[in-house]
Amino acid sequence: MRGLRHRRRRRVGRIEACVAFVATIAPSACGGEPPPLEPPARDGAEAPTPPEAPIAARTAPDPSWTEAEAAFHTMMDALLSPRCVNCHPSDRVPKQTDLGAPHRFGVQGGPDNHGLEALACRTCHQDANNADSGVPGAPEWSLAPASMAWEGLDRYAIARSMMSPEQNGDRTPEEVHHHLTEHALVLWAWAPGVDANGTPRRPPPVPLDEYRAAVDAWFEAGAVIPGDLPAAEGTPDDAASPPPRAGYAAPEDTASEDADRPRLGAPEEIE
Amino acid sequence: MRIALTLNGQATTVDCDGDEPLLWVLRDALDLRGTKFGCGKAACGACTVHVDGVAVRSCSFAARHAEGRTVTTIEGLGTREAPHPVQQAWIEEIVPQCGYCQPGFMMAAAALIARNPRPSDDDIDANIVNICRCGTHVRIRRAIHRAAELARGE
Repeated sequence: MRGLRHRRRRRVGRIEACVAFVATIAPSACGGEPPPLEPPARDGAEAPTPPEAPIAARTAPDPSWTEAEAAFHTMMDALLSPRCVNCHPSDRVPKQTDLGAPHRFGVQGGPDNHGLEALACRTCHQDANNADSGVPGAPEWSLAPASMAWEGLDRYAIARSMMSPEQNGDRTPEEVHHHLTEHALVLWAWAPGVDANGTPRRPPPVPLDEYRAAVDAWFEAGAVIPGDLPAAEGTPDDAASPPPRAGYAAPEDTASEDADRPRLGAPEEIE
Repeated sequence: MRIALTLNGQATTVDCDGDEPLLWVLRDALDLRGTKFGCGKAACGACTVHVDGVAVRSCSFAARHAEGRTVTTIEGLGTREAPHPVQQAWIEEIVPQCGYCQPGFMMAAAALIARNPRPSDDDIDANIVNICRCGTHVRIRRAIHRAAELARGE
């Protein structure tokens, strides 16, 4: 690339000069020894993440799970990754880094989920990752609508939100499946590029092929959220429904939902 | 690769590496030096240009994305004889100090008032997040209000 290596060297030289300048003035400004220099935080970059950072991890399989339950947990292990949840905030503020920090510069989702008038998502984010600046990018880069807020929800509530037409943008189960397995913006999570320091971002803890297989398996089994299993005919309720897991919220009355909409997970489809 | 774009109103082609930041293509290949390099990480806004009317950080915009698009730089915002309202307001309010970051600020401000003819202080603060080490932000805010007035014909 013409001249870029030279420019990078020049840029690094400038940064080093600035750091050296700050180090020079810090003792007199603070009246003591300067603190150890940390790598500066930068736009589009992820702050250095300590090894113990609370990022998403694989759930240990439970021998009592059905295949569908195991598929559900594999799928949700991936969807709970910061690469996914960071753009499903509860406060309309996109998040970044594995720590889910508010997006620098006070960036907001704006009225159409694409940012503000002069600070749109595409002001910085294009259709592909930019390895030179460290700014991530993918087609249709935007914030999830407010109805699709996942931040702060547990995996069961997220799944319920994901399958609810009132919250998922009136998507059918087939459209949800397509979004989860084919949408370029979702798949970006598995190719998230590097940050401004050249450090690769961490993808979800489940490999893409395993994630896709789990999504397929869960939908094929009826897209039943563990804990929401309907009672099988002729069996006591407590035998059909596993006990709620931590953070489980009892499903709300769904009688008002659109009865005409095909809904995977309806009792007749499970049977 | 060869990229064809409309640059400051003129049909333009340029041969460059498609992954090269548009900033360097503008400055080095097309000799438009008004757009500045600041951080190279889309953080400071000194490199802001318009792509199809949207404020874009050209340091983080691969040149190949400009294919077929309309790009406006500070050189194309207005002329000496007929300055853009933002440029006129910048003159009236004597905004710049060292001036290095000001083209980026003006491009961001122009994008703002094109979509929001009456920006409030909060709108300006939320939208104009460029960095000026001289600390001209107070004058910039005043100039954006003035530019909006000029654009409205007031």
